[in-house]
Amino acid sequence: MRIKFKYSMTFEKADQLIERYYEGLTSVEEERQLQEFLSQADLPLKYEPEQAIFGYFRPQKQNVTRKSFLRWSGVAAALLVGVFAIQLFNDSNLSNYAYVDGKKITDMDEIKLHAMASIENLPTGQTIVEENLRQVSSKELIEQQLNLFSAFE
Amino acid sequence: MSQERYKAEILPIRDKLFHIAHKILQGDEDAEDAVQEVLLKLWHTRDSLGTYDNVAAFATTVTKNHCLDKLKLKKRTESLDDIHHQRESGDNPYLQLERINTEEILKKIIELLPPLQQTIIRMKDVEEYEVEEIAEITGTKPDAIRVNLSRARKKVREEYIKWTRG
Repeated sequence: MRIKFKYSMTFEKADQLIERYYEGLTSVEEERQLQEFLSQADLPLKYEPEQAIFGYFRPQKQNVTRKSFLRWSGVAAALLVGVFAIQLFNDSNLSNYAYVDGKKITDMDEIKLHAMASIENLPTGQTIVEENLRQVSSKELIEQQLNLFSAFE
Repeated sequence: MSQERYKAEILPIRDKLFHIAHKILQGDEDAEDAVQEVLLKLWHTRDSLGTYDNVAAFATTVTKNHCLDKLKLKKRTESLDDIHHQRESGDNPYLQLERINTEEILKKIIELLPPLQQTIIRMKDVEEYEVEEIAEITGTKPDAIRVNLSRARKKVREEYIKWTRG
């Protein structure tokens, strides 16, 4: 079940961000969150100056295109972090496991060991043929062939 | 002009530009502000900078003119306090503003901020630059940018409250 908040962030968090905003310490991303919070209706009156200020800047943002020093390197870094995060996620959450005699094993090394052992027990195609060949002795083979020939006589 | 060229050709002459500004404006702080203003101006017009043969010479001229303008302005700038004083005396052109809307009030408040603070608050709150980026463009430390940004934001809030509830 998801808990639904009435506001996009708690007042405590908003107050904290507003304080940091006035100290020039908030990032662009944090200011976007704050803007989202402040654009909500029915906020307490104490947020009125910030609502006015953020409301004043908001429409201007859409008219601005900018290039920056760090933006693209930032995007690249974010992608890289994303890739690692995905790998980490895969490693930790989609872990490998095997059932050996009805027991679940998640340790990779142990799984490999069991897997190798069971592979060795499997007869390969070649060994099967060799086994069959050995069973059919050459003597028998010759007799069979001779019988076949004699039948035509 | 690309970001790389801006970095390679403009930032290295920062000290030279500061020297020019200092000669005209005298004070360290004023000169530093002026240089940052010029660098941000050049940054915002960097697309057309490539057309100048000698970008360094152009930047020098811009700095000189900018500082001379500042010097002239300094002599006849009315501070925000003066305006408030007028406001209280009843004879002030902004009185109607209050009745217009908050947008007009904020526009006016921001226009009356010191130029460097104006540029920085615009870059951060409208153009969405990070403080570190602005610091890199102006060849300063992020903390120096933060100080101006903080002053600008606090001033806007303070003035807004004065205008709307005063």
